[in-house]
Amino acid sequence: MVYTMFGYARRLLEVDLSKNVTNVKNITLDLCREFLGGLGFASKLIFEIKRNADPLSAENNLILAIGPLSGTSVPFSSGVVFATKSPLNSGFCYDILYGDFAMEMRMANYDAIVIKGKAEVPVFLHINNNRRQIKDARQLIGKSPAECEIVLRNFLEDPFVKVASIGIAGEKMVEYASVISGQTKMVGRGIGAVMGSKNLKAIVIRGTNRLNLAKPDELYTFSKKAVINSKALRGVDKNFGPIFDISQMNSICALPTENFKKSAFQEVDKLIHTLNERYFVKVNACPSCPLACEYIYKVDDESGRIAVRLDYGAFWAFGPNCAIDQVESILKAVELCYFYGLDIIQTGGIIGFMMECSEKGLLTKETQAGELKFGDPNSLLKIIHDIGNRRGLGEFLAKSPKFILNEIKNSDGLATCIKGFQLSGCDPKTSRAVALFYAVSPCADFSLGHGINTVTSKKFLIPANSTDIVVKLVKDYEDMIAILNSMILCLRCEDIYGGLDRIAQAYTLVTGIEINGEDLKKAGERINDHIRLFNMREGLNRDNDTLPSKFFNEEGALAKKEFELLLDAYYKERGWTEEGEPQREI
Amino acid sequence: MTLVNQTKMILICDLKKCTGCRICEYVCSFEKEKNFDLTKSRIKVVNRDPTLVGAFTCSLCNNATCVKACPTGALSRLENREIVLDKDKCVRCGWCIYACDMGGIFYDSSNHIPIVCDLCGEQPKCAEICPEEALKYESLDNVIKKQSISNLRKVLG
Repeated sequence: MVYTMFGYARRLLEVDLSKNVTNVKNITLDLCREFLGGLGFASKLIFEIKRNADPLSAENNLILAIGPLSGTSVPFSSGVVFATKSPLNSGFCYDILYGDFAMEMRMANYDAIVIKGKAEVPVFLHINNNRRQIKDARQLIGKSPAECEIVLRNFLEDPFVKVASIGIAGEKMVEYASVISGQTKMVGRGIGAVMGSKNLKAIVIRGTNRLNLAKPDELYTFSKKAVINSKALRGVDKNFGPIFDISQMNSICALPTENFKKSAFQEVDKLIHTLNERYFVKVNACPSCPLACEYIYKVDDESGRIAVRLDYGAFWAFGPNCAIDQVESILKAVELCYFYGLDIIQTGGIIGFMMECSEKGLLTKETQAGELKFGDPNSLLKIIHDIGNRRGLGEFLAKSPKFILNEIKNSDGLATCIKGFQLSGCDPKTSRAVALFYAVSPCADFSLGHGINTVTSKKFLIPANSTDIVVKLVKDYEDMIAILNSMILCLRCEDIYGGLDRIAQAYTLVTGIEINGEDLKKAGERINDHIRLFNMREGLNRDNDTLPSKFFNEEGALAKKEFELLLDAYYKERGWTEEGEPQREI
Repeated sequence: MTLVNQTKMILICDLKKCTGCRICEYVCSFEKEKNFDLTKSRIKVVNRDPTLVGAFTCSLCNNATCVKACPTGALSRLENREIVLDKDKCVRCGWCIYACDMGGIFYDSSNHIPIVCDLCGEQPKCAEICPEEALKYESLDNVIKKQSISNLRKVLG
């Protein structure tokens, strides 16, 4: 059977910053059918990076990949996967930039962009349909991502370009620096540091091509129906969204508080009330999304920057995690992260950790942050400035948690990271399913809690499930996430589409490639196996599939031995060896 | 000319409700172009910053400047109805696009013709699909009335 070119552009843009050249390569049909796109493409392309490459060197690659559904009208389809070797653990990491950027990449006619090497001077990448240029960005150094966007739109005389850029933190290679686009969308996990290490300040993109779809009329009907079906799940007022979810998690004692010391924060209701009464502005949505979830709040200060997006993770990182009970400080802390370009969860996480170290008297004169303590907003805001600028204690804290843990004696018991990535959102003590999901996740996936309130994610909150049910729940959810992050579809869509068959249908209407739910499931397994194999290649193994000791030692927590049995069962369910190695030829 | 009692209709976006989801753009481009080419959507989402976003299209101006600017009479507007373009009379001078302060009429560079919202025959599809019900096609009188009531409520507390 002959497949014509629908949906996919079948074009991969390779950018070599060392050689100052760009090149378009063909993407094979096999890659499309087996890896779908987005995270799937990334899980295959990541192997191009040399084994043991230093993440902050010219040998690392930065991969951007959209999915076949990105930028089509299919609701929830507006995301770009950014993937690379993270400086936090030298292993695979990815994050998703939702919003306009994905649509622009689709209209520029690229499925993926791979950025290699390192530029001699700070540059930005300017893509306009088929024209690609690497331009001098020295004028942009020191600017926040929001400022970069304004300057670049003026400079390029095009108000419609989409910009993804790093801030000062990325320029200085803070190891959890982030990349920001459209003022309110962020990808973290050290991806910003990788961009900074390549001297790449920004990626600018503009596309004006027609979409090439297999069955446009049926796709139109499909999309309209999904929009109408979403009506039942919508509740776009200030009481819904991430703040609502925080409140729910708090009420079932699953909201990690004070560096995971506790599972509920008594100030939550007061914070929510103040946020809603005095700071709520409006709700925005990503392109094609009928379930808007971007909650915008005012920032109260003279900086001139007026509003910030507060989602579950952001509220959690500086609110309950650091025990801050002043709304203004939480909003300001989040706004600073957008200004400097810092991963909010990593930042809030490491600060919460330091607050507990301080409390337990573990900090020496060198690492003493002065007044870092739970509930103190002034030292919180000051340390974020210091981290963003890599000065004072910020120089020490700009490194990965692994490094910091090593430097602070006896701090192992306070750590809250999985494979070097900060845990967040949902307390692992909530259930065995949550504990297992986090422990095996490659980069501390935060699709549990975090406002992703789907039927499946709620199942994780049920504490007493048998091992069989737990491992199957975790595996199926991970495979679902891999599929959605390859299409790319926002995780919220799970309940709207009601299962893989509808998603497979959308895929066929766009690409013309016949596929069903079973094919998608197999692709999900394939993608997760590849990520796993890459991490093993880079030296991660069964020892890294664990929770920090804090979670095994506490009362009521899972016992280590019991966890190991759970892990055995999970590996078996996945068809992996006892050491957790996929038996797949790649 | 006999005075006919026709209320002025407008297609208006409630900025308090608009989330910037662009579903109106998807629907418009498909209805008019049979493809999801958002650059051809007659309605466009504009956001100044995260606090302010809305969808804008032809304002259905009385004494429309685009019509007045057209040197060949290709553009016309019947009372209280949409702008109409006679393609055969259009000489592609672009004066209508210069004349419109609102950006309601713009240039389709692939078909080489100005394009403007035609209200989908008085049942605009964008308003029909808008998930937030931010886009409404209704009489100007109604819009003014609702705004007055809302302002009054604010004053009276």
